[in-house]
Amino acid sequence: MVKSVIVFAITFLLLSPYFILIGELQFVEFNWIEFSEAFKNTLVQSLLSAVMSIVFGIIGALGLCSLQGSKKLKYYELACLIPSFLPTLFFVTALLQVVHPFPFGLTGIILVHALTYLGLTALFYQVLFQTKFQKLSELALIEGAKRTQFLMATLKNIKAETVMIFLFLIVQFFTSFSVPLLVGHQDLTIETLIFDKIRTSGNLSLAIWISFIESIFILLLLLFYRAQRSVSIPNSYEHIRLLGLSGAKYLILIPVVLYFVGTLWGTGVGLRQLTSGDFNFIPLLIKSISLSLFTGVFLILALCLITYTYRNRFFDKFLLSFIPLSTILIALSMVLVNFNFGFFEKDVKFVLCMTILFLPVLYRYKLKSELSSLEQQIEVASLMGSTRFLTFRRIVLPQIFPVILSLSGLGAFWAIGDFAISQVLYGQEVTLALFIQNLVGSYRLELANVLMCLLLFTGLIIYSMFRVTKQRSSHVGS
Amino acid sequence: MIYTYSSFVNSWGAGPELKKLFQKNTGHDLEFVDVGEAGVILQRVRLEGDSPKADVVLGLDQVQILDSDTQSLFEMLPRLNVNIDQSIEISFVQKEHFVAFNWAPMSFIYRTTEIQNPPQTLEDLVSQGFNSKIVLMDPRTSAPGFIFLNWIVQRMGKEPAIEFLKALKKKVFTVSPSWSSAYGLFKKKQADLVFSYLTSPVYHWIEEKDEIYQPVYLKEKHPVHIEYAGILNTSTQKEKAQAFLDFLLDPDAQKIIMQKNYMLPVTAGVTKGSEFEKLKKVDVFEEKPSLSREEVLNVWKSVKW
Repeated sequence: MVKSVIVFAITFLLLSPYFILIGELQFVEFNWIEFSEAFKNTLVQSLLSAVMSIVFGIIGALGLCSLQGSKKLKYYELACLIPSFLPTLFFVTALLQVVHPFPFGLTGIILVHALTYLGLTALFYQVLFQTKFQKLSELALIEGAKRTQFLMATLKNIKAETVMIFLFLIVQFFTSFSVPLLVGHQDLTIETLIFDKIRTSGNLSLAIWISFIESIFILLLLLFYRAQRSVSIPNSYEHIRLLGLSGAKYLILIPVVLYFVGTLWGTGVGLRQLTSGDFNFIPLLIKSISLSLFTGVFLILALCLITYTYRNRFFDKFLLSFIPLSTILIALSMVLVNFNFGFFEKDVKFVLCMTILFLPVLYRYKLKSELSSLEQQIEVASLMGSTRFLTFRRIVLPQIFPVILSLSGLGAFWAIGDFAISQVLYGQEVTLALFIQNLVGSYRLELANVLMCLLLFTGLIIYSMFRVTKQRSSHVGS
Repeated sequence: MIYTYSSFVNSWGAGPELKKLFQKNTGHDLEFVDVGEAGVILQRVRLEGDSPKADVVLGLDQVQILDSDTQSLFEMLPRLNVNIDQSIEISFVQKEHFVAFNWAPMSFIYRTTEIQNPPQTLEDLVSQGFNSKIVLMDPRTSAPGFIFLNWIVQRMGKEPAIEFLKALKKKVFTVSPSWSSAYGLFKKKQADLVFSYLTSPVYHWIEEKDEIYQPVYLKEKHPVHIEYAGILNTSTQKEKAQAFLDFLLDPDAQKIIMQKNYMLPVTAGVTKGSEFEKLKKVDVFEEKPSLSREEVLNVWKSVKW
């Protein structure tokens, strides 16, 4: 009963923008030629980008494995997250500043996507290597296996997880908007089409239909996927160093270095504008921090609830395949409802929007595979007569909670950089990200660059806070 | 309540100062609501249906106000009673349902350190050596991008426009999704020419004391970007809303808008003594709604960018 209520509540929350905007849905003339062209372009770029991200990600993960046990590891982990946080314009202009001549076109899209998601993919594989092959690496070490032999065996054993990562990346790249336009010289993509229907043609109904078809496509992709059970072997990760490739760790630093080298441009002018301007951005920063923390805490709750519903195939498929509506549509749908929360009304709406956007992503990113790795333990507990609640409280949650904290920290990190949702919800310049966005729109790119660094730094501190909590709870758990 | 776009209402925009001045002049309170981009304002109004919260919408452009569905959302306005600047025709400023509050011719912007002989005609753009030096905006996602394309198509005709764009393609560094990212790339010296407002260099002259930024003065008529305000039919405070529209064309308000938006005023005498006087007068290209938006965009789509 409790499980059904949770499944219903979260499904309802994620689908709520569709429900709110359903009144706008009409049977419209659908231009299939235009759609198929956009679909083809999007599919090609997202497939190739996902493949390249996985290749780079595996190499990056080998670099992270070489750092196992080292204090430097946490800094590298933070470096992994930075590129996925940055607004596309900042990252792309930094890249264009450094990479000459820049390979525009399909190669350019794949390059930017792969560099943006290299860190996240590397982190994902690092955890996989740690949790799945620690024992195997001990054996391999004793038997005298070479690194390449062990690596090949390892990769063969993580096919199912690789499919998951691949799907996660496909979804991310499928919904990529600015990158294909900025560096791709592409004719049309699905997101450009949605954008065109919302903002220029004013055809909301068609935009919702296109989003819906996009979701159906991802759902169909998942029909080919069958989850495999995997065994979790936590505790010491020492011997995973066998997989480590010391030189590969520098690959992770490339996107971050490229960004900061590109960002150095105009820093002097930006700092001068910062010190000479009569504006006070501290209240904006405080608001950004509070919204970020609020989002992080709500995500902890939502991810815990999802964890409680473990082994629900429908819900699992739903979370894996769900694609939220376009950001603008989600924000507009929230504007239309009234929760009567008074002063905090907009803050509540902001957190709900962030949850709708990030919850499925975080689930696909890590929670799904972590829950899969506990399957055997859950089955044993169930056979021994344990209730769902008892299994959740004594077996699942203690092992999953550190992951939930880390994922919520990631959500909080992304939330602090949001401007698209907050712009529509608040209608005023209330966060630092909105302020930065407005600076870019009013010629002041240098000052925006400087403040972006501050926002990035703040986001990393917030993420680290969740990580610290994670480590503490891990100790408690063990 | 006034729905408008972000850069109008942010700390650097005209909104905060206009609000103070309006309160001082009329005693009425007003609230600006940042609805994001100009393109989203109408979506918000339509979604709110019969109970929109706003009285006035500020920031629609000359393409958006042509749509009859859009016009039906707004009140008819009385005739204007102000001196209009001679550089813009009254027919551009006064529309049945809307009134223009600022405008600017559009052109290419360059740095004198990189380009000594700026183009003088559109044809110069393709015949001179600007290989991969121009940044444009995608007309599907950017209002200035659509203004550029519409200008080319209307001036040349569909087929010649396609040929011209194919030739121009070789000179284009990238096509950006928005004006801000295009101008960002230009500022970061990724490109030597960007399609923007003729008034954009004034920002650099005033704020950065940097005169290397200059507009390209073409020997032909320039396209324009005009921004309009209108009163929603559903407004419950129409008198106050009309007072606000009248206030928008007041010379003091126009000066604030000019200084903050870096666009030209519509009221006469406001630019006097300002850096805007340094800009040369250009002929303005009058758009005719002879082609639909989709037809214009088809020209873009037929050039494989």
